[in-house]
Amino acid sequence: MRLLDEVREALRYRELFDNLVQRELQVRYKNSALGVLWSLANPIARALVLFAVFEFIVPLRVDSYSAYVLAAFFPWTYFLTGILDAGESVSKQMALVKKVYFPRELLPLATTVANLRHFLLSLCVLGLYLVYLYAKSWYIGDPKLPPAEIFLLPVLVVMQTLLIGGIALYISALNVFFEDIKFLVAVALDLMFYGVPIIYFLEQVQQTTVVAEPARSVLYYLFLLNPFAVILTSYRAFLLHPQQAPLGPAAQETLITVNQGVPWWAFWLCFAVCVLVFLGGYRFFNSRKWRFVEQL
Amino acid sequence: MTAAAPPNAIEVRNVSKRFHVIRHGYAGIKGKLGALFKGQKPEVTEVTGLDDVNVTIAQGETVALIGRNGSGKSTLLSLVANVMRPDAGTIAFPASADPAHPRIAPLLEVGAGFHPDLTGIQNVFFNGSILGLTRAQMAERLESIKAFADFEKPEYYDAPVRTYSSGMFVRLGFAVAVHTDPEIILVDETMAVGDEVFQEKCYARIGEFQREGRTIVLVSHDMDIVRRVATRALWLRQGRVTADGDVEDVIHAYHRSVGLPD
Repeated sequence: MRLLDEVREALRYRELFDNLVQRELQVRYKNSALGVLWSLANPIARALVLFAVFEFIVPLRVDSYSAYVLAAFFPWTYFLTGILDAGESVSKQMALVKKVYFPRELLPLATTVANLRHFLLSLCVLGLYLVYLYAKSWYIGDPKLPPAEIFLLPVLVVMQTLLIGGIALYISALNVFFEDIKFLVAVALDLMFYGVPIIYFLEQVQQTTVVAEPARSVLYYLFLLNPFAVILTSYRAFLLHPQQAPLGPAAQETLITVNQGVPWWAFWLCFAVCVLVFLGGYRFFNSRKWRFVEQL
Repeated sequence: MTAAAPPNAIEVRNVSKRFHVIRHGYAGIKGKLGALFKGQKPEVTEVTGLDDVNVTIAQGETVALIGRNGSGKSTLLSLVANVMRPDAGTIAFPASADPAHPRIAPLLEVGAGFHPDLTGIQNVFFNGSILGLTRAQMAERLESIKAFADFEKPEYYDAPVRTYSSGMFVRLGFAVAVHTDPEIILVDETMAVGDEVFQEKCYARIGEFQREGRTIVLVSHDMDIVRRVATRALWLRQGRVTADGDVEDVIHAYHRSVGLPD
């Protein structure tokens, strides 16, 4: 099978792949005294600011709201940087691509893996915050452990990485031919931030009083079919417990349970979509990679 | 039948390559949108890069490709380097230890493959891995690579490459390439940069490669370089091999056709 041959060929270049990832990490914090510590400093700063904002400035009636935001925001940053960086991964290396043979798919995939490492560091920061939260719950006499789904976290990271890698393969190949792609993707991602549950909860969409049935159900299913929304919601639900939160305008507000995650069918459907996007991206990239150098 | 001939290093068989050039209008989304709304399709013309080229290069030969700009020299070099694929025909490397994966070292142009923000040494390791060497193999050769590049100011090895002069760039790039144990070496107009001392060193190294039986293909407009290192010359004109053989004869034919004195 053609695809397997391509994979076997790429595997011969493992050493180069490691070096590409290494180089990506070295270059990011070139000439900075703290170096890779910046990968930690960034999420720590983000966590502290969000904590301060939602604890002291706009206290919402959701306990530890900043934790819920961060649990979706860090994976969102992984989406954002992973896709944007990878978009240019081939076009930036054209000087090399024109001269030396190596499996070209290593370029977007190495960028993806470099971003995965950054993301794992930010997950560690989130982990510290969660340790604090769960420790606090024992201290105040309402002992809680993280949800059992936390053991599915690796599956979630893998499926997100497959999705990012697949999209990276598509757009890095397209960007060689049409430079408009990277701008288009940047705009799309910017808007997407509001279209996925990061600063709000999926249940607020599901039970909104602003939209009437059946439009409300349609809207909810659109969220469940969006792999970005499913992945971000799942991070949150695997790390943090559901809780009661008020919904609607002050006069007629109702209590709803937020952070219940997505139905399992939506989760596994999303998993399948991520695998398919990756395989599709790999095929798409390979069908075009021999024409990269012919661009004048 | 005479004694079995040694296998050829490079066999180019009936190779053709065409390119699509957009004459006017835009490529990409803008072009697509233009075509959609205004009915303006970008005008694309087909340009012949190589037209049914047949070349056989024996192991240990040093072949110079000469010809005017756009005659197909670099296209042929790119096809041998496997960065492009021919539209028709085949390119094979029967003499290589692993014919499916010949060890080919292109001597990179100034800048290619070097990341400006990484140090010289970091770039050496990275470049080595592109050419198929492991970290350990590169570490073994590092001193020898440094000795070959022979910077006047050794502190530059650990300085970001963006602070380098173009000569230093080429010296380091060349030093890496010649240390990768290649079966085939591709040289594309790199040697002209670098001072005379370094150029002499490059000639010496190429001589060494020739004695070791490695195959070299070079593209150059500098006939002095061609005369000095090549054992055979190939004149390409409009994507076809017009003359092939003795260096002096081919240069002579080429110069006569373009109206240059020898």
